[in-house]
Amino acid sequence: MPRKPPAEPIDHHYDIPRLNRAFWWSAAALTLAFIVMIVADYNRDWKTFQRVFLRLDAKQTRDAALAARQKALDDEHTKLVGELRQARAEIATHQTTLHQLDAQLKALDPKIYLADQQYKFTKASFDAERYKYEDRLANDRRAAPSAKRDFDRISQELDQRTVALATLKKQDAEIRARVDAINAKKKELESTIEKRTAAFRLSRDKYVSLKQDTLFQLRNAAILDMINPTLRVQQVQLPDQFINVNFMKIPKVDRCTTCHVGADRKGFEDPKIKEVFRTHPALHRMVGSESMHPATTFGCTPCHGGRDRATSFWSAGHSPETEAQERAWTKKYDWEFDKFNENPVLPLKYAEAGCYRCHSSETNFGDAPTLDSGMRVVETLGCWGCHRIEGLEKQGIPKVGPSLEKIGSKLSKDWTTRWVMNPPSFRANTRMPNFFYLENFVDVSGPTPPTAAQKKMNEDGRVENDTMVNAIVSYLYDRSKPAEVPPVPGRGDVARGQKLLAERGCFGCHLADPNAQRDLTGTYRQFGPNLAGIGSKASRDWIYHWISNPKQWNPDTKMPNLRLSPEDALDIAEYLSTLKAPPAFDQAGLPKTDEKTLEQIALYFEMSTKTLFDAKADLAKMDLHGKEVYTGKNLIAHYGCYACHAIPGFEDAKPIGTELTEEGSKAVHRLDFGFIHIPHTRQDWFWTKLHTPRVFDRNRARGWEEKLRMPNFRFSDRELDQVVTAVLGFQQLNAASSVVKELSPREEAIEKGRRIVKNHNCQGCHVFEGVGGSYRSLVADPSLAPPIIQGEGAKVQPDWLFGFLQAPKTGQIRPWLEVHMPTFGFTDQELNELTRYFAALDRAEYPFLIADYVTTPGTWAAGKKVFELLKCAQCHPRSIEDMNRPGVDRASLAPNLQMAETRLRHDWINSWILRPDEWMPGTRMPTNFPKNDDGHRVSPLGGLIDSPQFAKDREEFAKLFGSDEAAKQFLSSPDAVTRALRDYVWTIGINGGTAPVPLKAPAATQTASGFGAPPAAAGPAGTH
Amino acid sequence: MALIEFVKNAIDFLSAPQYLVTGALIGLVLAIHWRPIWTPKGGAVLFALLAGGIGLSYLDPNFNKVATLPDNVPIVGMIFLVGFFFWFSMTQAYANDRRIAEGRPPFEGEDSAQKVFSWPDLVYVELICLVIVMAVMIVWSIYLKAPLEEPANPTDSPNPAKAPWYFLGLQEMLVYFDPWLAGVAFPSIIIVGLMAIPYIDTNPKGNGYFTFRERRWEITIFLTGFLVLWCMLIVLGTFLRGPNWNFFGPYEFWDVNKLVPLNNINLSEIIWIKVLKRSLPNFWLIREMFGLAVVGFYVAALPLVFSKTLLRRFYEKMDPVRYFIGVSLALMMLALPIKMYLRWIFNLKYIVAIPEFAFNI
Repeated sequence: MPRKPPAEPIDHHYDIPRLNRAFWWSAAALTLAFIVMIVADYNRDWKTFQRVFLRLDAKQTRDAALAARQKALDDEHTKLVGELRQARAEIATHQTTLHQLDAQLKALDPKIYLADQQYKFTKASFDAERYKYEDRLANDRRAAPSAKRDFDRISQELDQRTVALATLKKQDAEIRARVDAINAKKKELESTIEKRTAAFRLSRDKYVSLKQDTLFQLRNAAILDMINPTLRVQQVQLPDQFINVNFMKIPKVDRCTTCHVGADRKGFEDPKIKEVFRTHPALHRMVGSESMHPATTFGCTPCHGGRDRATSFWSAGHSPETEAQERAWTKKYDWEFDKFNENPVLPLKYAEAGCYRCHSSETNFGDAPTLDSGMRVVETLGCWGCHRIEGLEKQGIPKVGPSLEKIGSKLSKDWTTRWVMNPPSFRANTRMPNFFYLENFVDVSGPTPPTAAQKKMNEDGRVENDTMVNAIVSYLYDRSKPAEVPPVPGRGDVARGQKLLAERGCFGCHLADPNAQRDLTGTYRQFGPNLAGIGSKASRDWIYHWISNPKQWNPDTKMPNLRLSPEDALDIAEYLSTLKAPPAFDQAGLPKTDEKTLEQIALYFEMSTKTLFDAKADLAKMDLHGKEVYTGKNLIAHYGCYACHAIPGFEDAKPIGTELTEEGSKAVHRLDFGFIHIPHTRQDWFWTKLHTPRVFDRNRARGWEEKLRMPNFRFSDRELDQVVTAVLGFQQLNAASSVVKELSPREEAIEKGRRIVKNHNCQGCHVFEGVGGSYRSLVADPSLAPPIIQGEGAKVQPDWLFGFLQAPKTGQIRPWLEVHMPTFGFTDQELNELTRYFAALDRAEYPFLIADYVTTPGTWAAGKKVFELLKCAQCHPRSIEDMNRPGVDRASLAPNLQMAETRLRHDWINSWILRPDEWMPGTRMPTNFPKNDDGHRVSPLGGLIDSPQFAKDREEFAKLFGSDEAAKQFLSSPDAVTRALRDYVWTIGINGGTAPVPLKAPAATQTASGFGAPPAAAGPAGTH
Repeated sequence: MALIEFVKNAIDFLSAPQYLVTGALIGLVLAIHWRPIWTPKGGAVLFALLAGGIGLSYLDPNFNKVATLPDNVPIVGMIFLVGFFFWFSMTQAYANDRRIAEGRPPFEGEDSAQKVFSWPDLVYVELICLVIVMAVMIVWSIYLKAPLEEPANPTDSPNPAKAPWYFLGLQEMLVYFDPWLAGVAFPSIIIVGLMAIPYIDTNPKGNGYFTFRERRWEITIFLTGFLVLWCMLIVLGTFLRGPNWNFFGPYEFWDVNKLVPLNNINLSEIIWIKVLKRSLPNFWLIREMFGLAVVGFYVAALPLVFSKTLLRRFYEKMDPVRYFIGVSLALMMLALPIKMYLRWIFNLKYIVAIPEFAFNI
């Protein structure tokens, strides 16, 4: 079949000029799009920030330069310049000579060059000839003599060359010395002027380099900036800090300083400077290159959170602190909530959360006050009892609530019921949270009056809670271990009891203030329960036995034994039993158990292990009380009461709450926001949860068993911020171990001690580590208050401290004190850890000290003499008799020196005598050795001894030291004098300070040191 | 306000999959026969309705939230593009049909009689298109940022976890079919089937020109597959499937807490327990014999039955191999709506359920 011939092509199907126009327009559009692309790519916020910062820096540098100039160009400068001018004129008169010398130098120059070259060439030949000679010696002995000749020849030549070169150089040096002599004055002046103006010139040069001149603009112009721009992304690589992307760990690269240009530089602290440019507020601790957290290792985002590689405000994940800030940011930076950013920047008020992930092994966080308070609240309120927190779990904290094992013998059932229903109605500042009648059972919080359905739900919830409270209390009393509280014969003296309560030190841990609000961080006096209302809670008899020996009632109690005499205990118990609760508490109605509800609750628990029919059969066998006890036990397990209280039957129960160890890293979508519309961030969820724990049940139709269980701790807003900071800090550790805080043995000893201190509230009475001593403010006369024991580790001997802490005796050191150091009943381990802790705090030796210190009779005698001269005995008794002497005001006495030898560290005594004002500011011990202007301690005795009234003493000292001069030298040396005093004081406890001999040192050692021989000479006699 | 709420609620209600698919299937068949739409005027009205409806919907915060996500914007564009080409081809087809009825050649016939140079008539136009597309893409990429989310986490998938937009139709099938079917077998059959079309459908009519009358069945089958079972399922997957792959109306808030009962049962349970009141046989072959019989009938016997009855015309026109392959493919395609309806009406989970071999149909 023949193919049809192809049709002839026609000219064009389309109108070509139209296509041309279309092409023109589309090409124009593409060009425009291209330009838009370049502009959009070039315009980055960080460039603007850097330009603005550059201007700021330039301005500050300019100011600094001007100030430096002002300072440099003073009268002295004018004088120097004048002198320089003179010097120059002076030089001008020597012009001819200088010209001549210069000509000579010029003539010498080629000669030296040539001589140097010849020397070098000869040296090279010399080395070669030497090798040749050595080679012949080793391999071809016959040819050696000729090689030796060549070598000798060249060696000679080298000597000549060396001399020639040296001669020429000497000539040159001589001429130069003459030139320098003429110029000397001028050079010196020039150098002085240069030095005086260096600061000015430096800042001026810097200012010039900071100017945004044409070159700057060119280097940073669009497209051209690909070559070598000055505005560039700044970053630190952090190989030890990771981003966990689940299947691998990626090192962080922090680019924060791209915008926060001034963060790591001093000089931008002024609050008037824009926040973005300001110096980090704690440069000495963070970011600064000399701080312990330099930005090059720790970066910014590992602590603050945020997207490390981001270079724009939004993508960095900045989190607004308030709604106002959010609005402002939205307007200014197009900020919007980024739900895909799993790790946004922590709002500033929670910033300290970043510390915890690396420092979780520590107990106190003094440099991070919000976190420190947060952790204190978390510890004290017992959050860790229900929610496992690994960092705290490792530290071993005792349960925060009292033991309920013998509740039946201590408290009335009605009281317990009312207490469980609403603890703050009895004691406003209690730590016990509200478990019942909360909004997911009884919601009366709505702004509108409740509907009929709501009323019905509230009523059901109330009945359920009533039944639950009764059931729990029934269980507690049913299982309560029998304990006897024998009646106390006689009555106490209420007034004396009140006085003793204040004097013995009870208020170091307790308040007795019915209006007190909870404050767990501002005072140490809320460690124990508030004693207000105690008379409505416990009987006089019980109180008497309790305060007489708390550990007898409960071996695990934190309450120490104050060693009260029976009369004292009776008076205090008498007084405490008069403290009654507000009448509203005692009159509050008691809940009624609804049998049907009880049945339902019990059935639910029964059915967790049994089938419906077995469960019902089981229940049918129980009477009402049996059902209550059964239900109570299960409700205690349901609500986790045993997390804080010791309850029979729950010795090994597991905590009921979510583990919080990495809560701060939890994915936000794993937090159940329910129907509550708050921003979907961790901090908002934590805050809301802590504020109203059952709020996420709102609008949910759930049975009681499905409802949220977390109790309401009635947090204040301040506490909320603190606890949220702590919880945000419980983070996954995405860092190499090299950047995590690792405790040194010393720090570990300190942390162990701090834990014991925190568990026993030592700082309620004593000040150490710079904090504590709440009780001291209650005592008018500071000398009657529990002592400040700052520096205790350096002061006392470990053995003594061990013994003292184990069994302090009343009146042992300061018999005049009314307040008692309690007996805590520490274990051996605790005692060791505590003594070690105090030693570690002051970097003192631990645990072994030399028992026998060495002195010479001369030094000892001099010490004794000084002791008398300074009238130390006026305040310090040297024996018990001294203290009991008639007419002695015991309150004004200083510690008994008899105990120095057994109690104090040898080297501490002289240090204390030398600088008591530094050891304990405000001490009554006089500063006998004041500081001079250079800050050195001086001994005024050297001068004092010259006055006529001490003529006799002077003679005696001269006799002791063999010459007046030696005596003077001794008396003028504060170190020598204090050491001598110490040596004397040390013997007071041994022999009453009568002789230097009983320093308990072996004779050989004493002799050896007396004559300055090395200790080795003492030989085996050195042991005893 | 109340009226707007009513309309929104009505739309939310009607966009549930069962109504949407039913409506689309019926609507498509009616629409392609309703000629007034397939004119420029009809097109303008259609466009106005679509654009107006979607435009007004943007005023709804919930719709707005979903439709303005950077990865969903193109799907809005896709609705218009697919709509336009559908309208364009149908309009051309009807116009050509009219010309053919009048005894004239179709438009394309006139065109193809001409011969032109590839430059400038082809390449120049292509160049202009390329330039325009580039300009649009550049501007788009500047003002609509890449929809990046959090780093992937194998232990913690996003909710809803959505496939790329072009796979959303397949993902929707997963609701009704076992993964090996919806994820492995069907996609392979779709690809092979699309490749096989030229060999099955050898009818030269409509080659190079638009026509409807000459290819009524073919076009209807193709449009059902492409528009309803592919494009519409993508739109459904994009805009109407929210957290936990739950259905959400276009104006409904995507609430993570929403729960929908999924109480589906297998055919074997219906027959053995509900109808025969006996316990399920232990041996899977006996247990599933009804289901296997149904499937066997559908796959093997139905093409034969159809060849004698409903589709005799086709069977006679095509040779047997072509007929059987073609009908099998068509039945495969129909299996999706059939299974959908079985699910909606009988809560049917699987026709054949053999968990012993992880084999379910």
